[in-house]
Amino acid sequence: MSRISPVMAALKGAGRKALIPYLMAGFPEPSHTLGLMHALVQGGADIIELGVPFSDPMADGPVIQKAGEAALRHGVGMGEVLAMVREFRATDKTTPIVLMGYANPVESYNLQHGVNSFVQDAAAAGVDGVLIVDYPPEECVDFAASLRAHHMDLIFLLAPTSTDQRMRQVR
Amino acid sequence: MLQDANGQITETHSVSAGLDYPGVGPEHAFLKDIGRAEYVGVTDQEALDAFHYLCRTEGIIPALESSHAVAHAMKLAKTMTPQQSILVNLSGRGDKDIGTVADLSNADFFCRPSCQGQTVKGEQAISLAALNGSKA
Repeated sequence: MSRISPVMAALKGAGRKALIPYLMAGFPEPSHTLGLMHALVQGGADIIELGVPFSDPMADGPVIQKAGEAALRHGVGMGEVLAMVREFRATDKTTPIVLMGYANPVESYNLQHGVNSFVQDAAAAGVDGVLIVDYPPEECVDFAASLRAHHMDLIFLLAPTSTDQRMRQVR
Repeated sequence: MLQDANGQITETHSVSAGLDYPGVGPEHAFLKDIGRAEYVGVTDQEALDAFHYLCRTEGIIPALESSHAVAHAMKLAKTMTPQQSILVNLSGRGDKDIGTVADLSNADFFCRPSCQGQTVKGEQAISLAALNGSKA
C-alpha cells in the first residue's frame, strides 16, 4: 500500500475532499521546485502531483505545455525529477507524491539505467503514485504489477464518457 | 524515435510533410533489424530534383515522399546494367505538393503565399530578413 490510500481514507472519514495541487518540476527554475512543494504542504495540500517535463505533452493544455518547455530548457528530465522527490522526502515523510507524465521518459530511463530501474528508483526516492497518460491499462500490466510490488499506485484518467467496464478495469 | 538521453523527442525537418516526423514504425524497425530491408537517406534537394525529373521524363508527378525513392533509384541505376530492372513504389501523388515545389523552385505560381510576399516553408529566414528590412 502506498501513502495515498491512508490519506484518502482519512479524508473520507473527515468528510473532506482531497486538495491535490499540480506543479511542473523545474518550473520556473529547478531550484524553486523543492521550496514550492513544501509551501504547498504548508498551504494545505493533501497530495502533490509533480509533472515530469516532456517534449510532446499531448494530454496537457497550453499552460502546462509552456511550463514544461521552460523546465526542458533547464535540462530537467526524469533523473532530475526523482532527485527532487528524494530531497523533498528527506524532510517530509508523509505527504504523498504522484508523478504525472508520459511513457517515453519512463521507457528511456529504463533503457539508460536498466530494466525496471524507473520503478525501483521512484520507490527509493519516495514516489507514491504514477500517472502515465499514454500507458493505456491494456499496455502496462507488468508495469502496474511492478509498481504495486513497490508500494506505488498506478493512476489512470477517467472521463465523464468512460464506461462502467472501463472504470472497473482501471481500479 | 529521434530522442535525447532523457527520452525527449527532437525536432525534425523534411521537405515532405509525410517524412517530417521523428519516429519509425515497428514494422520498418523490425525489417531493418532482421536485415530484410535496407534504408537510405536522401536530401531535400535530391528529392526535389527527382520530382522535376520524373515530371519531365515520364509526365508522372510523384509525391515528395515518393520522390525520395525516385532520387535513390536514380543513384542505384548508375551502378546497374541495362538488363537489370528497378521497381519504384510511387506511394503517393504529387499534385498535393505542387504548391510546396513551386515555392521551393521560385516558380511564379498563381496565388501562392510566395507570390504575395508572405512567409513560405523553407524560406522563413529569407522572408523574415526581407520583412525586417522593409520595416527599417
